[in-house]
Amino acid sequence: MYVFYNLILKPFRSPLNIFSFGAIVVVGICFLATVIGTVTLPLSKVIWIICSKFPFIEISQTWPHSWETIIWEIRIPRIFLAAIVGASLSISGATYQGLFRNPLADPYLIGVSSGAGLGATLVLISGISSPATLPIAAFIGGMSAVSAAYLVSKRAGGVPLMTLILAGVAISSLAGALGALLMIRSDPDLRPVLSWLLGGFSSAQWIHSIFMLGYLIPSIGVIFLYSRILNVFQLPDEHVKQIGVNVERAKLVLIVASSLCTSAAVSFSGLIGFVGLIAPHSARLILGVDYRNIIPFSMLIGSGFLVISDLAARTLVSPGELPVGIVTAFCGAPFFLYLLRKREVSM
Amino acid sequence: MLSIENLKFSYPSQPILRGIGLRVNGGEIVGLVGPNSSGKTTILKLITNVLVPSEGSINIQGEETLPLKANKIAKLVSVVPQNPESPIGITTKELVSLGRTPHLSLLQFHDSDPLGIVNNAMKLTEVIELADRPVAELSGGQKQRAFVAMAIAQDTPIMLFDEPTSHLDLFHQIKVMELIRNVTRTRNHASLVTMHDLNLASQYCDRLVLLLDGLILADGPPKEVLVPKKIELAYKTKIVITYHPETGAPIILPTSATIT
Repeated sequence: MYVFYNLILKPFRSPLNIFSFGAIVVVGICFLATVIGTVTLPLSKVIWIICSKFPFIEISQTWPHSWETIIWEIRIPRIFLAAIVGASLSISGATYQGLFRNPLADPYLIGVSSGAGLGATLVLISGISSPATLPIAAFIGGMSAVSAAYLVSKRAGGVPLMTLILAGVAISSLAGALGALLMIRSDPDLRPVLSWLLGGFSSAQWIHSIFMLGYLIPSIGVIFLYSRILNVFQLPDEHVKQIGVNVERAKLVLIVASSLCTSAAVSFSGLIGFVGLIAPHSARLILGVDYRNIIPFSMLIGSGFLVISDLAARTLVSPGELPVGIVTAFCGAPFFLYLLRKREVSM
Repeated sequence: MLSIENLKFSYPSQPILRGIGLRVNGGEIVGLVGPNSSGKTTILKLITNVLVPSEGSINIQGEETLPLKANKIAKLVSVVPQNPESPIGITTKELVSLGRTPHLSLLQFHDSDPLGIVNNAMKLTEVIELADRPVAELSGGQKQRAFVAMAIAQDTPIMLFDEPTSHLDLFHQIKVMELIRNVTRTRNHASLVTMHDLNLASQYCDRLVLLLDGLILADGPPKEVLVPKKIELAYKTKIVITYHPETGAPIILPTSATIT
């Protein structure tokens, strides 16, 4: 990968060029993922089918109707959701790494995951689970856990970040323990819970992506505006204040924005690990330490990575399917260890 | 420019400042001296609203600072912290640019810096040739100058320096002090500098304010403040005074410690 970077990317090392190149790669990945599957379809037909969906374009149908269903109702919604979830987890991961000045921060740091997990477990084992209630319960669980951590850490002078992390860890353990207790006390078939916890996109629909975008777009907007402030945040706390940043407001805004899009992502796709940790690191490795570059580029990397992981999840053991969380951990963990060894990213 | 009246501050366990009043005028360098834990750094934190005083007022150019927002106060006062820490991986130019933060709105995503303020600050502090080097690779003296450049880029009428010369070698001590003098004089800034090195303070400050236990023990030109009676009281150290053969500034020579 590094050779590739030196040979191809370095001569054009302007952030915009790298960003455009990345965007093209991600679009390519999405096309690949549309073509490949249990049934592999010819690329030309795929393109025609997609084009025929645009308004004002009339193309006579020369493909079986089932192909259209596979592409338009199954694969593309799934790829789209995977891309959006990847982007959401990565933007939150990048934000948290900047806000907490901690390279090990991921979007689940202050309790979103265990809170959402508890919410989902509650719904799944109480038998009121439905495609509508599950995401709502997970979302509420995730946001409640973060809010609890935030409120517990709040002092007169503001919210100390170290306290917030520790409160998040404590609340995560509590929620995790409650979830485990519920699972043990319930009906022995834990597979739905486990498969939700490991994450996946097998039930992805267009409507999920639309909901997700509703959370993601405002969050992106806010985080983009604050990405310059995230650069300032790399100074010690006191100096940040002395340089004119309203530290407490920035913390609150960034935590709310990233928790919203993480909770939304988790509620539709379960707990997918490592994306939110790896993507910001890779972005930093390629583009340097400026959060104005890291934020957008990590979204791009996160989308591409999650679409590929999902492709692997649904094709490797075809016709069966792996939870995508297992795939991301299998690729992500070694990559992370490699990063730690290479130390290209200063810790 | 900067005027402080009856400033008091306490931590729950103990009082730190017990009624401080001082002024710093434009073009003037005031040295804040005194033994450890006499409250020097606390004063700087109070001026920048990092801490809130329990009593008293701070006034900058006729404006009360206490109710001001972080953004507003950062347009009036800049700080060079003690042993400043720089973000990992950033270059000197990026660091100095951070000084522009209070002048930018959220929507100003990229600062084009049309007036070249960042460049000028780097020229003045002679770090311009280090612009693209990572701050982490700079020497102690260069790093200190980079942080001074950042404060200059902040473009404020008041500048605070928290022990700017501690842990620097002789050359860089003089260099940083001359830089402070230069900036203060040419831009008519008011500079408040906390210092441990009384002899350096004596040479470069127009006025010294000697603190002891949260009160001002002496305030005046170095010749009036650096006298055995006051220094021995503040530092519990026996001293003799001599004078710099060229500048005439008083020089302190300790003779023995712990007098009671």
